[in-house]
Amino acid sequence: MMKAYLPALSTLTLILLLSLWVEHQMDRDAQLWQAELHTAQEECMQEAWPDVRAHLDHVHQSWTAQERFLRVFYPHNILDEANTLFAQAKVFADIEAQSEALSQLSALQEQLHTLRDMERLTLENIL
Amino acid sequence: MIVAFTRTLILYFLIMVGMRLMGKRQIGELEPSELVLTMMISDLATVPMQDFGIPLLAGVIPILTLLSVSLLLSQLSLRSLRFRKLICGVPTVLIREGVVQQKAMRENRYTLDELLEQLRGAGISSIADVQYAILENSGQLSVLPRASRQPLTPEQMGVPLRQEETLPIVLINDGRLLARNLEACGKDSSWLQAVLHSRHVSSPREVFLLTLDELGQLNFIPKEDE
Repeated sequence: MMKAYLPALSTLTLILLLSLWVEHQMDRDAQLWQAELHTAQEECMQEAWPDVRAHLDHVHQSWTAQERFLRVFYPHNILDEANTLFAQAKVFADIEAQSEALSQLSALQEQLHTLRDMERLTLENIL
Repeated sequence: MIVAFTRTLILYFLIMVGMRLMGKRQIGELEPSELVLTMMISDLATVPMQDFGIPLLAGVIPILTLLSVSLLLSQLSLRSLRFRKLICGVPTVLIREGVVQQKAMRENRYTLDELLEQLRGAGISSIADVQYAILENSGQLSVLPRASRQPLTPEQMGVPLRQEETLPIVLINDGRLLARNLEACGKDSSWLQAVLHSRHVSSPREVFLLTLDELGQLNFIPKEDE
């Protein structure tokens, strides 16, 4: 009797597991990126530019490595915006423009927060 | 361009598989739940087909979810009459023994014009001639005329019939020999060659249609010259 329900139930279970896995992955990655960007922000305030650049490069590399995964699940325009913010933050860090770099870093954190929030199973997201 | 092409192919085949899984009724007669499903799926598929900024999965996942839920609901409907009633509704009698059931008409928001139109479509001009008219869950009206208005059958007239009509089996379809059907009829290629020879044809490629029924009657249509 249960056999008849099996294809539909297993598809739904698979989708549910995939969704939970995506949420978990994004939550974990975004948290790491945000923490590192926060550190970069603090270093930026202290004008420790080599450290800012190192942290920013590290986050960007990690982000780029995950980009294919992200493009499968997330709206591409949000990812493109994040890419632009990364590029701009790197430029401002290179020219050591503190206020601009700080603003880009906080915008980048906000963008990552949006991405992280998108896959969360919350009432706000559902509504 | 190639993205649109690939996405369209993926979504098209996904929907085709889904529709096949939904069964034949899906195409002809839609019940409320099926109509909702069809409308939602067609709408969902077009969004990632046109907007490349939306991940393909954003279209695929909802379609798969809808199809799975729909399959689950149809299985549950098969098992539970109460559930089926809840999901699909129940057929409603609109005319009972020549009398229009006005309350049922109002409840189903079925106008008299629609009713008369459907009756005319069924070849009935007067409501009084109808024994039962039932509004099915698919929205179709099934009309059962009064016994006095039903056509006479050979059985009622006591006319002896030769034999029940048999289903003709296609042996050649547009020049293609259907070997499995030939085997199912208990015939072989030498029999077929003899049949073709008697019709002055040398190969199945020259035949448009060849059928054989259970009485052994052949229907032969040669191919016209192109």
